[in-house]
Amino acid sequence: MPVFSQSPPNAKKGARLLLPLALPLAATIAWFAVCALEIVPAYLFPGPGQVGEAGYHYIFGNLGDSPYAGRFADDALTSLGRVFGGFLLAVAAGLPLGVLSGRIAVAQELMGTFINALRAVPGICWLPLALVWFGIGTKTTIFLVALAAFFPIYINSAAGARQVNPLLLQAGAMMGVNRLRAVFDILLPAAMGHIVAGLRLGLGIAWAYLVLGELTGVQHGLGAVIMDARMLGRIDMIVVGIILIAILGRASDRFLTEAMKALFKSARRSP
Amino acid sequence: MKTRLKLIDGMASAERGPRVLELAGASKVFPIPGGFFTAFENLTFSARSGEFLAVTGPSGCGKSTLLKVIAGFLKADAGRVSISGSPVKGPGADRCMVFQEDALFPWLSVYENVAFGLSRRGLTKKQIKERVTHFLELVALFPFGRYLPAEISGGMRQRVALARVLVLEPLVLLMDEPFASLDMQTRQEMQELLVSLWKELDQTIVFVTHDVSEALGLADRILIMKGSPGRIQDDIPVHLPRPRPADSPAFLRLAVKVREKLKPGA
Repeated sequence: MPVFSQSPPNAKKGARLLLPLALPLAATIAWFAVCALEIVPAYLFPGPGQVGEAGYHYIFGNLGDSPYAGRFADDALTSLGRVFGGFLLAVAAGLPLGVLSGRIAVAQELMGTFINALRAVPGICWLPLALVWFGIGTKTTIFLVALAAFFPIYINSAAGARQVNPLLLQAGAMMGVNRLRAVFDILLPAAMGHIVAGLRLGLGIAWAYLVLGELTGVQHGLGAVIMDARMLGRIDMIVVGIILIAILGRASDRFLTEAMKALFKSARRSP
Repeated sequence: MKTRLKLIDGMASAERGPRVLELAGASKVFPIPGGFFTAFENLTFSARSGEFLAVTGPSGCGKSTLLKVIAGFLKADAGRVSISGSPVKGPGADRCMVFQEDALFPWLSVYENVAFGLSRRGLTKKQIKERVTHFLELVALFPFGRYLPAEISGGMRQRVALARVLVLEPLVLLMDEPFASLDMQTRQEMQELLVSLWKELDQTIVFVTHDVSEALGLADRILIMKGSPGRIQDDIPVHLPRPRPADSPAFLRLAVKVREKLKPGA
């Protein structure tokens, strides 16, 4: 029997797992060095020690001990809710519309120009309108997140659906698959690589617009903490917020890809 | 039926069963910029149950289009195409195709690819397993059920493609140059496998190839097409006993005859 393993041998695997941590570690060392040499004054760029302490209190401290102590769980949940709320709306609209315009010429002609014109508008332009419509807070944030995440999901789903080998659909038809079943049993699995790419891009941009929505003066959320910390001159808390968004963003991307793999054979087995 | 056919193998075409596939005056026309292109015109022929029919001809003679029309992927613009007496209206599992290119579902394992069509027929899991296992054994792929198409060779993939349609017991098996992209040795193995499956399953086959030797090695009858527009130039029965070594005098004589007919202006 042939062997088709593509992963490196076990001995090397451990080292490989640590490799992604090398750059964050290097950045931290450089950060220590910059602060130790006092190249930048601490009030502009606090050192890792100060930021670490602020982060510790933010995450593990008791509520009320200090201005930000213990607020992390609440902020993170609020932000995650907004990101995934907006993201799911974007998926619900972008995926079916994308697949439609990828497969049906009339749908593409109908929607293509309109959607691409909307896409040309920088997302931030919608902020004033969203504030008027939805007020400050969750609704505005979700609106911005959904709008921004829609476009990559739509475009990649359309590209994926368009590029499906027509032979696969013919093969399905001859084996007795009707047109509706073919969408779920052949078209979507065959376009899965593009679809996952679109979802990941959409989720990434969702985090960007989360912070934009939360910068407008809402009470909770990681974006709100950053904005609040700026007004209070707590540069260390700004850095804590940035690092936590980076970690949560990376983790949610990982969660998304793993969830897709767990749910769909075609995501698990795309080449 | 089956045993009788084995005894008189090679001379059976005339005595085979009822007509399964019938074309009467079938034509296919494509619109092109500034006019029309006629792929084939006024084709009339039939294939009897259990018959192995090869269609050969130069590229552009419409032989692949013909298969697509029989499969129902394209609609004939004139004439009649019928399967067991009923007209072809669209693709269906009574006419299955093995394509030249790899058309397996890459996200499904070998086993799942073969089970794909069966799983829509209201069979129990156990029945599906039995049938899939049987057909994987027939194409000698049983140990590879869990592999993905990307993990096996081109020849093995075409064997999966064969198994996934044979398992549906189509009335007519359509093959569009299925071995053209395989290397010589694999190609020969596949031809031998196909003949043995054809005998075992008493399967009606329409096999399109541009390779005269392949047609002669496999078929009961060869339709020679010429284009364009495609027409049937000749209908040649092949009364050679199987197996048919390509260097036997009878084989070579027939090959010369067929190649003569294929020459332009013949």
